[in-house]
Amino acid sequence: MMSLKNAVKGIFFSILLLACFLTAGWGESWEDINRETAGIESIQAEFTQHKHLKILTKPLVSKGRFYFQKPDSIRWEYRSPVKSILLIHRGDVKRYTLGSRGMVEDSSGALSSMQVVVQEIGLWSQGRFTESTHFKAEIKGGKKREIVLTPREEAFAAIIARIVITPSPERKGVIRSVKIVESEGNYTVLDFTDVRMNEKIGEAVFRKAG
Amino acid sequence: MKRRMTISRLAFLSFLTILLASCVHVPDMLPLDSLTDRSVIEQCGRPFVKSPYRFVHAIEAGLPGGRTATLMGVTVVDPEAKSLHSVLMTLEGLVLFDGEYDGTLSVKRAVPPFDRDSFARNMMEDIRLLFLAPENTSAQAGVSADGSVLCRYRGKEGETIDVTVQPDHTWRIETYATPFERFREIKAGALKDGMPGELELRGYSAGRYTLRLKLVDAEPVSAAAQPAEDEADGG
Repeated sequence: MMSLKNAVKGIFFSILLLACFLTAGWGESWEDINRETAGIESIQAEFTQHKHLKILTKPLVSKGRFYFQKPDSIRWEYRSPVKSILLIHRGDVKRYTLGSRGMVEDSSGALSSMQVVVQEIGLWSQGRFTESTHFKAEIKGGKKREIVLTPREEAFAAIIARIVITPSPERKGVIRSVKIVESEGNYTVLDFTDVRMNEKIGEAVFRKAG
Repeated sequence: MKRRMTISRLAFLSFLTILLASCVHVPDMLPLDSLTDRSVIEQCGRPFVKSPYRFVHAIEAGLPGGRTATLMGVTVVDPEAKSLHSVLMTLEGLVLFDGEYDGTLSVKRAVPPFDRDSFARNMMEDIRLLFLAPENTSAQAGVSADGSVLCRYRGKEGETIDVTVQPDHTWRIETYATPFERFREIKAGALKDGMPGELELRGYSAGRYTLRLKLVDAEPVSAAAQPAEDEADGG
């Protein structure tokens, strides 16, 4: 049985994937998105994560790099403040974190996370965002379009209130930010830069932490 | 035959007790006088926060079975109010636990498995021991041959709290009911401007665990530095 914590962790990475699929050029409707996602083979980008909390006077900033290779390989790598790498490849999920014993595998809940991720990827890679069992997706706004995801299940709604994805107005197909709102005053903003699409990424990137 | 077994069992138990007692290290301490040696005894206050402070730590939790998990922790400590506010989150920023203690414990958010009452209570005990001075300020104190200063306090629940400040200004804190019933042990190191860059807490009572806290950020909390209202907008 998947724990809520692991499910949430999985969903977090699914959100990132959704954001990256949207970078491939998204339109005014789900049909446009569906059509455009067909051309994506790989994505890589730098990211900056700003964590806002009521308890903090300034956001906690984390930085790293993200890689995605179709159909479902991911490397989500933090460089600071803690070096940590999540690898998802061919159904295998592993996380390594730099600690007192060096770069060691964090074994908690990898399988459960993978199950959720793969489930969501399966839908989104086909542009079937509205079929997600976890989130209801909605395109909002006119010129300043946003995609708003709201949890379908009460259990998730208690943890994530909504997710707002904002596309870059300057560069077609690139998102400006992903905002994950947990509760009033507590939210995370992910900014992507140096987004590169359909460049070859070696398989080892998704298999090895080094 | 039965009697002989009982005697040998008793003998074994006695031997074991003597053996265990001999393992307890009772340091040779020169007792300090609370009046004349006040400045030395005050060193025992070095581990504890003197004014409201906010800390951000990367926390490596060592769990039973050799598993490890790394989380981010934000803690606001106010020694005057004796209050604590702690948030635990994943590296991705998802909040798993948000709780406050100001005499009573209130949990604002707790995601399973962090939603157990015992978790919140134990966590606040850990934080209190890490940052707040014992409430009972009268201590037995002594100094060892290597210059370490040890202060022994009596805790609220009757437990013993030993604070040892070493000559290099690093410190160790231990709590226990008896030398054979330890609750927690803390070691502080990698000092920078008196602030520990690394803290290691070992818990023995509520299941064995280790927390290694690596300091990411620390700042004093003042009224002017309170989170702005507009920051509270969740967007």
